[in-house]
Amino acid sequence: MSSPEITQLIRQLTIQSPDREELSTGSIHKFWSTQPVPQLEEQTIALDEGPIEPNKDPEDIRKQPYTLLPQFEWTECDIENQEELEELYQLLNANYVEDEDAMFRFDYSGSFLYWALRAPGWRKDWHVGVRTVSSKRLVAFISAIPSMIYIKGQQLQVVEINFLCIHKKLRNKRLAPVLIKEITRRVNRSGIFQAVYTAGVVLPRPVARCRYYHRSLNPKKLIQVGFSRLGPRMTLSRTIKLYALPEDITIVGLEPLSLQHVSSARDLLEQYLKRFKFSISFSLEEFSHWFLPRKNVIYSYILKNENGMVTDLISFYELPSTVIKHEKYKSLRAAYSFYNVATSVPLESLMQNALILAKQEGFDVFNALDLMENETFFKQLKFHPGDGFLHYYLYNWRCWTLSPSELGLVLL
Amino acid sequence: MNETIAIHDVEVSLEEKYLEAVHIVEETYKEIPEEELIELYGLYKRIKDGEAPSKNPYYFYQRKETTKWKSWRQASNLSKEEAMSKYILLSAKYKSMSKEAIIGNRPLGFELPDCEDSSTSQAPVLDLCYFSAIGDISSIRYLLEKDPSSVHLKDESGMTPLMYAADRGYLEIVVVLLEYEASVDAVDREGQSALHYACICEYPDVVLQLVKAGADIYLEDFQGQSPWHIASPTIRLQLHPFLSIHD
Repeated sequence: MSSPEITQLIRQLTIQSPDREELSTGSIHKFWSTQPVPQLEEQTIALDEGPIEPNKDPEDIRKQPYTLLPQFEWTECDIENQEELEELYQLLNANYVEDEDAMFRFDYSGSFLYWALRAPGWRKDWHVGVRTVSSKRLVAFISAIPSMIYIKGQQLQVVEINFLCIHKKLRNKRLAPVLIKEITRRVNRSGIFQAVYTAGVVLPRPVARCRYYHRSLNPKKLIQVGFSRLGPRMTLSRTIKLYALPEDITIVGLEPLSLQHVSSARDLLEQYLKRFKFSISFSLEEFSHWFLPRKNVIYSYILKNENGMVTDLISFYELPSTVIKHEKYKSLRAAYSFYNVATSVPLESLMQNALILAKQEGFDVFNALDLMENETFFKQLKFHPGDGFLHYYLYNWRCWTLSPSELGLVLL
Repeated sequence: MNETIAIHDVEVSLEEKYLEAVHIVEETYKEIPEEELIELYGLYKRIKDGEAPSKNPYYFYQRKETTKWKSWRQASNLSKEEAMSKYILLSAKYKSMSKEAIIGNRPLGFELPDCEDSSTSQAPVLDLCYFSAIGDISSIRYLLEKDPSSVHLKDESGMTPLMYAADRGYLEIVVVLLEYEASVDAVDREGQSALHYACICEYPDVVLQLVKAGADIYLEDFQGQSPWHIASPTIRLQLHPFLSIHD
């Protein structure tokens, strides 16, 4: 089973969304040179870490939205309204992915978006849309949700920027810079001046460069839909045996996370994440939102000791792709590793159980970045490195480059 | 390495040089830069299969396959003879690297056996097993007409063309091989038959075809497992009418 194919797909689907690609080329680099981000050519060694521009008084921030071309208007997407959520789903579905000759297309579920965009502290005016004036059609989107991070021991209130998407036909209208400036303005007005975001492309300037690893759960299907290819002297039979997993979990006592254990599980994760130089910090409310299981969105399992304290945590989220024009398969289901903590069992064993659980849930492939301690189990558990990278960025914060294993932060 | 497929209707001396060139490439492909390999591949496909389809048959993310198709497409502008000449020309510089040079580079001491996974990176031996694995039915027919006994070929892991076809689920190829009286109960070095392969990979249609041809449902491999033993519930349903009464 060769994984470059898988990786290429994952990369194209998740990261290389064309509008982000647009941001990395030509005139767009001019845009980034006007932004408070470290420039690519900057010397890292002598830099002072910290904000690039000082915080301002929110009252001094521009009150009016940035001007759009006359055929467009700003809108706030009300994702609690089923119709508007569907509208956003359709926009992302058709445009978040380049689909020239595409046979696969991202299938972010409505429930996934509802989960991802309604994190505690979310604001409707941070779900920024652009409509055409004439048809009122939603043609672009960008979002921010509040988040607390630790960077080199310093606590920092930031927003996570995600789901930047511009309709395919409007890619050359320079909407992306306006969307970024507008979301920045709105976030600044609330007194937040830093942001985190990720992209497959290199922009000025990555804090860290992570790599995707893939673990095949259903090799036959991956091969049949053309996701992966068998060498002529390799057999499917051997490949199936190679990736076979025990039918049942091997750790006694693993159970889905439930309300009564969120507090203990949150403490466990909070403690664990402190060891990383760049990590997220979840309040109890945030932890509950992000980790309590939701079918087809987020899967979390815990192990607890005799005192009922949570000792181990597994979590992964679901991001499927539509398989277009395949007579047998309509969808490919990918699980993405979220946050995992092992204290009572080895991490490798815990993650093997994550694979078993993902397999039981019907996932076809399990993906993970090489951040946190993930690299320690890749080889044993038959993950294969991809050739795609995911870059982590900080807006308006200067920081020396970090290695993936210094990161304790997963963005959706 | 000597089961190279013959190319017909071409002037002999050029063809021989070409076949020699194919051998050189097979032996030295690890030393050949990727782009050149892709160009060689395009020429090879042009010579073997004729013109490439005019539209990319692969999915956009199958970059490697798409690149290979592009190369094939480009080579399709050449005649077969021109393609052979170009292939010979391109491979000439690797001639000196072939065999001795490679052996000379091996470190002293014992050589680790190839693990099974690494078989994916071997240069292909273009025999009936190969064409069964890639699902190339026209090449299979051609080889079988030329030499019907090649249906009994076993490769280095003891696998027959029928096992490869059963592993990939190519029903049409299974049917052709059975027409040429492929042995249904031949086993590989793990004691597994084509029916073991079809059961593990869960192809109900192939399973049915093999059982109808007399494949033994109870044939135990060297670990004592029979096709029936490893069959999923769906496959067992297929097998049910063929079970002997004392089960």
